Amino acid sequence: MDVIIAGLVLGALYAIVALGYTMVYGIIELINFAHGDVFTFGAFVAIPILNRLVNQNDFNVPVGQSIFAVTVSVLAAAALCGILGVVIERIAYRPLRNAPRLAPLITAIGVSLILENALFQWQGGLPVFTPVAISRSTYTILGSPITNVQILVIVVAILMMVALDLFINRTNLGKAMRAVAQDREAASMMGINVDRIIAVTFLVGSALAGAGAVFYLLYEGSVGYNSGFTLGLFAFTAAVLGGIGNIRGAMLGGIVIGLISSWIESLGNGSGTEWYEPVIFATLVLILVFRPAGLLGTNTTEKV
Amino acid sequence: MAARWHALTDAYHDTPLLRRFAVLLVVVLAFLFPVFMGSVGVDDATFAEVYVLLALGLNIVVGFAGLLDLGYAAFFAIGAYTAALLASSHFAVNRTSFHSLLLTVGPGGIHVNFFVLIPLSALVAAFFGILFGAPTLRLRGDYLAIVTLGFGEIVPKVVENLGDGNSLGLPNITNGVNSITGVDSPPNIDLGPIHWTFQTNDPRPWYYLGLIIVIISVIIIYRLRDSRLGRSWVAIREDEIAAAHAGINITGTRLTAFALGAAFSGFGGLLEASRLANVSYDQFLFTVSVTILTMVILGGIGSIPGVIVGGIVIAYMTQTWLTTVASWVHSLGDGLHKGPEPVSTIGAWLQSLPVTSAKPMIFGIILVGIMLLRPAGLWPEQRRARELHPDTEKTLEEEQAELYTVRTGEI
Amino acid sequence: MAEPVQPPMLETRDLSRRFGGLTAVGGLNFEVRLGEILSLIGPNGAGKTTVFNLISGIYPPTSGEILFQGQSIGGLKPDRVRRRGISRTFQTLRLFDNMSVLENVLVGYHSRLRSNLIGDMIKPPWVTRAEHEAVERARSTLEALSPRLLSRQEFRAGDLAYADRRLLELARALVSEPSLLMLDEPTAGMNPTEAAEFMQRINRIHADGYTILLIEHNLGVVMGVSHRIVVLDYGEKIAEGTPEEVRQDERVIEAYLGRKATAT
Repeated sequence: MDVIIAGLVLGALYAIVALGYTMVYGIIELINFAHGDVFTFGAFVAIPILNRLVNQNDFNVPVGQSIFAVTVSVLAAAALCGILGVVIERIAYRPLRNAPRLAPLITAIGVSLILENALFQWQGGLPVFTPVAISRSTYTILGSPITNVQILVIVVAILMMVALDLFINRTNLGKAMRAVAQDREAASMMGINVDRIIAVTFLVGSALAGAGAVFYLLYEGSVGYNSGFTLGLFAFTAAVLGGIGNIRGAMLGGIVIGLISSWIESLGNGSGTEWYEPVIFATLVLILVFRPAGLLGTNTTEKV
Repeated sequence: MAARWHALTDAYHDTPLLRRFAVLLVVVLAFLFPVFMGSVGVDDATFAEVYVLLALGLNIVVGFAGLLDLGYAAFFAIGAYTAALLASSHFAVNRTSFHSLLLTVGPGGIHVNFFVLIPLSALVAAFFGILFGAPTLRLRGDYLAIVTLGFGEIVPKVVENLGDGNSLGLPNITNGVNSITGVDSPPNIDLGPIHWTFQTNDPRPWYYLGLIIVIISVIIIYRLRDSRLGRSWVAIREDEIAAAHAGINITGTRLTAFALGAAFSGFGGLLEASRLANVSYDQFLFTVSVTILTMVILGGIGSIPGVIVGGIVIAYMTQTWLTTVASWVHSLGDGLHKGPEPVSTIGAWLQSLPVTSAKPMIFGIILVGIMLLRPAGLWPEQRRARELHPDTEKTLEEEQAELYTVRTGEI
Repeated sequence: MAEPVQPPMLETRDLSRRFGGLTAVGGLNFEVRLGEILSLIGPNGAGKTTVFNLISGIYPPTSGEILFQGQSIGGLKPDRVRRRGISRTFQTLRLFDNMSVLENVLVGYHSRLRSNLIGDMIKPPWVTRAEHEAVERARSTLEALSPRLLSRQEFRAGDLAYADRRLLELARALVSEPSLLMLDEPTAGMNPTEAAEFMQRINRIHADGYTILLIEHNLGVVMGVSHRIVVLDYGEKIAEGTPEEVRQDERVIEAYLGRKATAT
């Protein structure tokens, strides 16, 4: 049960990051390697804010102060990450939209390197710790302890997912996004501003990553300059598992990957922490072999 | 009639006299290089040779087949560890002892002859390439990027985890975080005037060995490019569906490129392992994959001379130039720091400028900059230049449309 | 016309393909006989190109069978189909624009050129000889189709004029001497003079012994060149026969004219 709870929390975090990958891939068929680093950027934005807004030596933070600090840092991280995402798209991806597929993939990896090294220069190579922003309290569910932070992460992830689902399916902007994902040319002929829609996609996906990063901090307590890169790899695996391009699939995939990794990590003799990365990667390859369309994806034949 | 064939016969026959002469000159200079250079210079050059070999191999994957391999260092590691495990004292066999020209087994470890390891390291790496490439390449090409990225992360991790007292209860396979030392050197070569003794204190035989290998590789790669297989790679890049309808097996052709790239990388691993006599999992991290990718992109995707130049430039940059530039910048900072107020702040800033640790950022800037500004690289390959510049293509099409309307207008 | 009794070159049995809820081709039966020119006609969206894509292996049939020279080829990948001896052209030209004219044709010869990795690396004499033979074949194919194309063999394919590009695609399909040649609207985008010229070429190719399956929009062209015609509407066969028979078929007239009448 402990494992399941930890897995769900981890899974919720993967899911939030997976959303960014899946949205971008869905709309421009690009693996946005920089997404994981945008996530780390969000965490680094949040750290000084949290440092300022909560007393670093006090483990009993008043509830009001917690809510304020978390809200402010989520908004700031989401806003700055969103802007960063849009800037990246504008500079590194948009000029290459009609180039061979290889070109934007290469700039994506280049942007990731630039960002990651910038984060390294900014905060150094060691993990950066955050103050306790929410005083821990522990509840018991089915005989297992669960902290309020864990509950918060799961609830927030579900809320984000529902909100995003409503946004994509109910709003005009969301409908336009789906139209562009379906057929960019047709969408543009219908009067949809494709460039703007793609920018919005990056904005939303990156903002989600930024917000997710704050909850990651609350849960993990620290972040390193390269945390996002590995997390991004797992989140991408989650996105593929759920069916790339599929929002609900990303959620499901995230949770499955979270459960797998927390299960592997729980294995004794230290083998867990050593082997969860290879296992998750093997999962990715196995999905591609046996169910390339993912759990919730449908097999689409390439357009001719 | 013979003159008409030049579309696909050997690139060599295709090249004008002046260029043939230039190539010859470069080769001669490369052979004379150690005569003029000190031991350190030759050592750096040998390092560059290994990386040029890797870049040439990655160019088959990225440049010829148009696939992004972000875990190229993993195959480098596989080749290096193949050499390290099969040609060192790591696996001591106490019960039996066997000795022959090609293979020695006994308490002194397993020692496979270097010339057996040449094909073996390439084959083992190619095998892993096929193992991970085959399921991925059936799908869209760009999934390969993420799978190779994962593969590149995992291979060092697995090597790290399979050392002494590993958590799986397996015997010590890779020596884990401790590197494997004492990897065998190639056997000494005595051919007439050539006496090559492969020792760590004399880089020259290594340099010549590397040079010969690079030259042979370049010839092979040119031939591949101009072969039926090379044509298939171009055709697939241009139009997958039309290529399939022309009888080209898409997955198989891509897989061949991927496995060939892996083979070159594995082979490079063998060279590096025996040159340094030492392998460690942290020699093969993601940075290495990125370094090699940057060489290919900088020089020019698909362009063999471009990739060689890119490889040399980046190898020297990582090896020496960056430290040199860093010391210039820092000593400039030292000087300015003594000056008056505004100047001293700049000096302090320069002093603290992290030139050497910014290597990934420099690579990132090169990757993004080249793709945006000069996508075919510094030394472009003709066809690639046309593919990567959609604007010029558009004007040609427009031109053509104009011609067409004029022509039909007459009728 | 006395029809010789021959086994069909190509035969479809209850061939169907659905995309989601849409049936693009439903229960189609027809055959192509050795040595004939069979045309597939029908209004826009009748499923003609889908039939081509099914035969050439772009996607597998939902149900039904495709037999080529007596063997089932339904669901085979395009390269396998080509190796069996079926080649095709595309309604929207698909040339390798950045390759030379000669290289385009050589790619078409791919399935006939035997080589392997080691051979390509080392280039022993027999591989070089095979390559030279391939070049000769490509050149003679170009020459037979159009001496002008041959004189432009070093041109970038994307730089050719439209009609030449069509010819080049035809050369790429022909060079491997397929048993069945499938042409998808080869005269699309040509003016009447060019179209007529092109159809004369098709006739010449047919005279060389090729079996041809043709999709054509232009009824005038079809009637002149085809031995038999299969008419599709909404993915089903509504008529089949010689040009005269089809011309007089009520349902064909309705499918074409009726639709047009309501459209205008």
